[in-house]
Amino acid sequence: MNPPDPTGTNGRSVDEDFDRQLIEGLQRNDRDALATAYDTYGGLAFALASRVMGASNDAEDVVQESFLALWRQAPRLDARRGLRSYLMTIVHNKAVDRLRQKGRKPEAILNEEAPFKAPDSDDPELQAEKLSETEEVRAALTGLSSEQRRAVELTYFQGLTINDAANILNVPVGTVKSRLRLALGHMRRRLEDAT
Amino acid sequence: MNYGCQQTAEALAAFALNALDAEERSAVLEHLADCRLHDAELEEHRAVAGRLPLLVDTAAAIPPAGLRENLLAAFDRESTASPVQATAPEPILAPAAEAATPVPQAARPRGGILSILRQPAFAYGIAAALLIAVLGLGIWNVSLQDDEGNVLQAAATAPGMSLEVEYFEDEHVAVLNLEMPPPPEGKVYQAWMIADGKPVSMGVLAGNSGRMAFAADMTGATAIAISQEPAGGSATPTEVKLAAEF
Repeated sequence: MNPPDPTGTNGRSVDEDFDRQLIEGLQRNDRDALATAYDTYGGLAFALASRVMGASNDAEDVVQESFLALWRQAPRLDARRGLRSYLMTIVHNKAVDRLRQKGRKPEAILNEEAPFKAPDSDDPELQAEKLSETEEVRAALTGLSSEQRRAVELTYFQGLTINDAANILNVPVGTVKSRLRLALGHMRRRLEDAT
Repeated sequence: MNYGCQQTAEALAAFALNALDAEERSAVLEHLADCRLHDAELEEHRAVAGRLPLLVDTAAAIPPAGLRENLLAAFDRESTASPVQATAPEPILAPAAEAATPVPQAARPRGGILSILRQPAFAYGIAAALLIAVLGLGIWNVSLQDDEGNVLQAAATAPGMSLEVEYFEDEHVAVLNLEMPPPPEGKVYQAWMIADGKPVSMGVLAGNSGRMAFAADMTGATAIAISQEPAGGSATPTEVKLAAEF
């Protein structure tokens, strides 16, 4: 199998056929399929776990547990849903669970900003071309209001509950819920317009 | 905490981002188990949330070289050893269970509920009459799996009893909808997750009817069973009432 770039920045998105082959391999307990899944998505999984948890040792455990969970759940996977999205959901869930078990103090991250991925290129010629998927998502996020963007950053990328985020932002919990709902709605429409 | 449509809708984006605490997440799940009005919006939120990882800077955190090797070594061990060991789930909301005598978890039973139900021989030494009695109740199981494969469902009924289970794989939450007659004096109901033919206690139930949610990694689980036990629960099931298979 020739793994595509999971972030889509090489111009070729991860496709359904590739995911299907991986899933079928995992269902057969094919070691090579798990290795290919890791080679394709491991970097992104580790980066996500590290971003949420901030500690590389825990991130290693989370990534390993996530890929093993993916393998165990292979009989129930559907390639149409996108293996990357499914795996990253597992990674995020496990990272957040572990983070909350450890009880990281929300105020410790009050002034942190997410080190988001840099733009793929500043070349104006490339700007005229179709944006990669990563750039589409980045544009959708930066198109949010600062309040909505901060709510997404604190809850998704920092793993905080809306209660903790509300305390940090000094707003009611309902306001955080509303900002998240608006943020995801705006991003969805922006991403739909981009396709 | 019981949520209606409005409260669920308001919390849905936070739910998709895994930003709710356990109690509120359980309330949302219990509502979603009954109400399909939020399916489309939830799917939209999840589609966006599923793309957020693309924004993480992969250059800022490179996996250590040994991680791949460790993963494959773990795979080798698990794929050649006994089937997956399920971890004991934790009830999300079980105030009554918390007040009860803790159920000992250390001892693993030698057999499983399903093996009792399916085979003439059984490991516990429980009388054959139990097997016959269980079958005689006309227990039947319906295994359902929705199109998207991320919610597992199972159900079982017997006269005067019913059990519906929805397991949300992404969230690792199992929602049980139970209708049982009140247990006899001095008895309680206990829920079990069956993995590899072995029952793992999910805890003594707070009541005999209604919805109950459990935080549980049910990877490898094949069924949920309800048994009747002495007050405080048991280390192994003694009187199985219902078993719903996935």
